[in-house]
Amino acid sequence: MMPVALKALGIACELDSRRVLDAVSLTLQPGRLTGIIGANGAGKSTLLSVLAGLQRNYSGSVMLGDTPLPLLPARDRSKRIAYLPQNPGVHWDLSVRQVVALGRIPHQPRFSWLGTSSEADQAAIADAMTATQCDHLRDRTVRSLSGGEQLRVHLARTFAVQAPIILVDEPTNGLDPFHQLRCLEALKARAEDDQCTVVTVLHDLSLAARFCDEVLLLHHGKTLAFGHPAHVLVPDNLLQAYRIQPALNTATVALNLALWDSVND
Amino acid sequence: MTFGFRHTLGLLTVASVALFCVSLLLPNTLAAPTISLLSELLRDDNEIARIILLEIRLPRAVLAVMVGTSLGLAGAAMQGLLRNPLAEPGVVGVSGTAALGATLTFYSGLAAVAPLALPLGGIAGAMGAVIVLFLIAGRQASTATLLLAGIALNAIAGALTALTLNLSPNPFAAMEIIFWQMGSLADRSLMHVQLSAPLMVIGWVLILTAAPAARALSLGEATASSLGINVGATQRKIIVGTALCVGAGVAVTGIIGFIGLIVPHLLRRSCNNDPAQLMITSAAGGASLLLAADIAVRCIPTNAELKLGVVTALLGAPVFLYLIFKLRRLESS
Repeated sequence: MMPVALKALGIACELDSRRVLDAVSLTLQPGRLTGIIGANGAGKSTLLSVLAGLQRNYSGSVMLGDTPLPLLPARDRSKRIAYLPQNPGVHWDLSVRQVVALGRIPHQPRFSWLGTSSEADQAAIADAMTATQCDHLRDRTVRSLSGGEQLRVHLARTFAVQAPIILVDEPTNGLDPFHQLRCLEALKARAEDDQCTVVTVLHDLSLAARFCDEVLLLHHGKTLAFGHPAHVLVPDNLLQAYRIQPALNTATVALNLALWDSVND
Repeated sequence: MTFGFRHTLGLLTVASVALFCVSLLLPNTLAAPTISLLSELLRDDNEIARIILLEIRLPRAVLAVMVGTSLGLAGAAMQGLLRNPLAEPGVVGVSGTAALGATLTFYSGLAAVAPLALPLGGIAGAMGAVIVLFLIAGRQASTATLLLAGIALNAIAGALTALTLNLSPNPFAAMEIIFWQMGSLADRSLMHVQLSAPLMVIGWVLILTAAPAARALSLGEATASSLGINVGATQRKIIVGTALCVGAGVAVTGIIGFIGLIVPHLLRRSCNNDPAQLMITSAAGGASLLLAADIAVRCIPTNAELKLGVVTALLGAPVFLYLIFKLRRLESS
């Protein structure tokens, strides 16, 4: 797994004749966790799916290392970019292990009717399950798990691809504080320990401030600010992007997740 | 330890082979002597026994395997594609149009003149549906659009079939149409096998090449695409493959319902819910079940010939109802 950078240049995207993205450029470096933030409808998810190579209806260019992303065959792309959509689901009563194993599809023969896996697959599955603390859930059906557990399974599935680039869309939706922290810690570990390029769409600004090496603040499809969270998450930007302003109440600051840590079981 | 995929597939294959042999040995009604025929066949100078075996029973048994395989495979494939356990091969509309094509040959009197006109008409009807579906699928249609197109095709074909019945020149033609639609394997020849086999094999190949992709679709279309799966191609292969093999089946046997619905349901657990493994076991399961149903039809003594499609619907509809109840329980819990 070679570390690789993902570059987007002048991305513009129109969906249903509405301009969703406009001249968005950014460079995503290995070893860094990047947050994409912005109000609802700012274009965060669309940008993520452009970066994932799934949304092809855009102008501008996305480069994976030295290769334009659209020129990369789907199979090669799927080995290099792992993607977890918003509110992922499982349609059948598949076990945790079966779902995590689906992350190995890009590495398996194209016509693998039995879905049997090689030793490399087994190792990747085991690693991903350990990294997300899913080991003890392996034989449960995913649909019987709690929301936090399900997210861990989907993260494990995403990590099992062993792609140098990991794109995750609003993973902390509906999770309790413990699981929110665990999720971001797991993503951070992928970036720092494995030199992955990790990008996540986030709504929680405190999580973004705490974990992200840099954040991209989108406003009506345009880049409002990009850089270190301390420089992006300033009152002027937040007022413009979210129509919010600081209440400067120290009691609420104490409840800010940025100041808390998850504790081992 | 559950009864795994390999065991189930092995067992169903053995069952299919055994039932195939029983089907060959069994006369069309229980009244005729069975064992003596076998012993007579072994004396190779018996021309009548050979004709009965090769030209009457062999096509019947082979068609049961081919049609059962098609229905089981296509049923599992449609359920995998639509991610819905209530989907069945008929939802793409091809059963209706194949039946319409065949009905028109009765109505026009072609079926009475040339015996091959009937299956050819059915195949033409099935191909009509395939073309319509393919034109729609080619425009990047969502699965929901294709399903709606299938419902529309079924409705149009149903209305036109009713019209031909309405306008049929005499009551006998109408009776013939009605009886044919009930679905049967009786009195089919090797010609029927030869006509439908190529289309069915193409359909099977299309579906089987899409099977591994159906596994990724368990996680939804966006995740499947990110795993390198071409969702559009998978959708086209499964829908066109289903139309080909099920349409060719309806063209030669009439409508045999519910096999494609209940076989995947019965086998899902033994495949650990894996959509790709389910397609393969459902193919073997469909063959076994249709052979068994056809044997049952021949063993139950009735005055008129008991139609295979009637028996499968009688068995299948209660299972369908049970499925709906069970799903409702799951949703409310």
